[in-house]
Amino acid sequence: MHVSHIEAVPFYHFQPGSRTFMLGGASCNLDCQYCSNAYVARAEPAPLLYFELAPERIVALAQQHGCHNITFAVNEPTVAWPTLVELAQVAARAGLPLGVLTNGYVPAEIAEQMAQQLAFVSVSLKGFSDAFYQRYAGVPSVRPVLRTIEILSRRTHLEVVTPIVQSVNDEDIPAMADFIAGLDRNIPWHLFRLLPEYKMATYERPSIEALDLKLQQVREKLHFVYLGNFVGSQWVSTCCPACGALAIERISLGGCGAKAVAYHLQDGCCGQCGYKLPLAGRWVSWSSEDKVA
Amino acid sequence: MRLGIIDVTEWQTIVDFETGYPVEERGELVTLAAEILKASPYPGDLDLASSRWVTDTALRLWQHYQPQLMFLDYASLFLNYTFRPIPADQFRAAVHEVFAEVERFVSQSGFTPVVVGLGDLTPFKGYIDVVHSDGQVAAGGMSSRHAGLYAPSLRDIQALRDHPAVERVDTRDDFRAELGGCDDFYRRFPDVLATAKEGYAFRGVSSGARPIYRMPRYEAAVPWYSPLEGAEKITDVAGMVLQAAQGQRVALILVEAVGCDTFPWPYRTIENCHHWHHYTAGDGQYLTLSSGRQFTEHPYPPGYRFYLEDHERKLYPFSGIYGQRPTGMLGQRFAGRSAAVGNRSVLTHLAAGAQITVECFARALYNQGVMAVCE
Repeated sequence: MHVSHIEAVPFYHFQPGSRTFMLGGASCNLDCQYCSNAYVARAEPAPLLYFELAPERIVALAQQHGCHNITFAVNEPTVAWPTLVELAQVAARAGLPLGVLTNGYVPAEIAEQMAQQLAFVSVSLKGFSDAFYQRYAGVPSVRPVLRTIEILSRRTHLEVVTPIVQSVNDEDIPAMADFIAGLDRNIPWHLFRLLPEYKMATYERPSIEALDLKLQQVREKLHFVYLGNFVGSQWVSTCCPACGALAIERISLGGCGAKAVAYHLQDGCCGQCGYKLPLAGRWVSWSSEDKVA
Repeated sequence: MRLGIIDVTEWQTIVDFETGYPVEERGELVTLAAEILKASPYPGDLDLASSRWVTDTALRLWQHYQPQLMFLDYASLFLNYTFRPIPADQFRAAVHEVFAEVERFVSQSGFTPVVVGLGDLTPFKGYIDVVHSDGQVAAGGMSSRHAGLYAPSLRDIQALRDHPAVERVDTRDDFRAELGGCDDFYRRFPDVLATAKEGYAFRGVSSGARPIYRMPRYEAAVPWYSPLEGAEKITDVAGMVLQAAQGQRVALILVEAVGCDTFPWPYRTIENCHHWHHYTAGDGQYLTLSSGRQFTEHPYPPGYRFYLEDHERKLYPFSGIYGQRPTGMLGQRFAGRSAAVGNRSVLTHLAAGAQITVECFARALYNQGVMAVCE
């Protein structure tokens, strides 16, 4: 558990600037060969579950630390779905939106429940073929993930994350972009330059220049494409899709996301051209004690 | 302008180190730093070869920049033996490997060394859970022997005083009366600070998630090796180094996880305490060694709620919790050329205050690359 910038999770379009109470557990339903969090995802869960906390206590801790929302990250949240639903309900009553990072590999029924219970969700779309999921994630098919994204895109705030492994899934980028754009061009898509660990620790790090080149065409399909997971990234700020003006400035301090450092919108609209950006929730300054739900 | 050069392998960027914004600045020092970074990919915190990286990088920097004063830190023993379940019987061999790297730097560069072992490790004994406290508790970092309590209840204080793994519980006023220090330190100081007994760590919100296998031992004295004379206390080292650097090239070399039991060279000792407080490897010990001033004379206390100041306008975003530069560090007080290399990430540039620093960019053991800081 710790206090974090919501952009560090990363969520760039939900209550930008806000302070999130981030927590996680242990275990996962996938076995990604390059997992960066194998020490929690693939390890024996019991020694890693440090705290036994009631939902009310988690909410109290989030409030005590001045957090504007709660995010379940680090490991797959649906491995403890019933207790997460309890937490979402208690948090909602306290005015704290709850969001998660998920691999999306869940039954349709759970995806429907996620849409109903969660205020914001990030789905990791790791590849675009059954073969990829079979070889690198240990499950038979990509289809449940695509179905989850479709369901969530209609009913809650959704962002999509894709870790890029050089020569493994970078060729899937155009197809993934077409799929996301087919649902909604405004869905933020975060591409991570993956630093492979676990069973693929010897794989090379993706070339940033080559990735940026690949993304140039993608940026014509989707309004909000980010490239990160490396310190100093210059592709983590939000620009107005209508005129290109800087809307939200961020700096990448390493790790998955970034930190918001400046907000240039006025009532959610571009200061240059007036275009209304599709953000969920308004800007919340880190030090603000406002409730924002 | 102070600049940061970040290298994430095959890609570099230059930032204004104070604001974090990219800049186009170039210059001799930046060009040199960029070349050294490109030639020095970091093997990772959990690779013992990271000691070789410190020496290789330091030698490159010495050859191309010719500093008169150098600051080096070798943290691989601490990182490996704290966060990996490595058998203790392998430790002495690992110590010798690290000191072989120190020796390689000294013999090839000809610097007069001041090598300080920052203290031995001891097996991890257990956690002190503070997550159920009524008041707010700050026990951040990857292994925290301190917990800061804010607005604690009487029940909180009594529970800590009664806890068998808690060494002491001090109010801010009591702490200040005994240890003294600057106003900034106490402006951020918790209402109550709890200190764990040796081998124990606090665990609450913001505590590290990775399992711990060893903790720093509380050592009243730590070993040092040097042909120089004149250090009896931890606060004497900086003055001794600066004085010697007037007439010769001197390197202050810090080696983590090595104390009197494991230091492989002939050594003398320096007192490693401030009143009852034992220094352990971390910002307090680093800043004290480099500045000659006790940890209470620097702005960030243990048990500090760092997130409160992590707002949009926080300066020095690549310096971890530090939003201001520590003052009076070795490099800042030395009139000649100074340089630093280390693999204790931000502590290297914070403590060295050198004209050019090269350090690993690792966070929570994730290897992100390398960074140089240039004045």
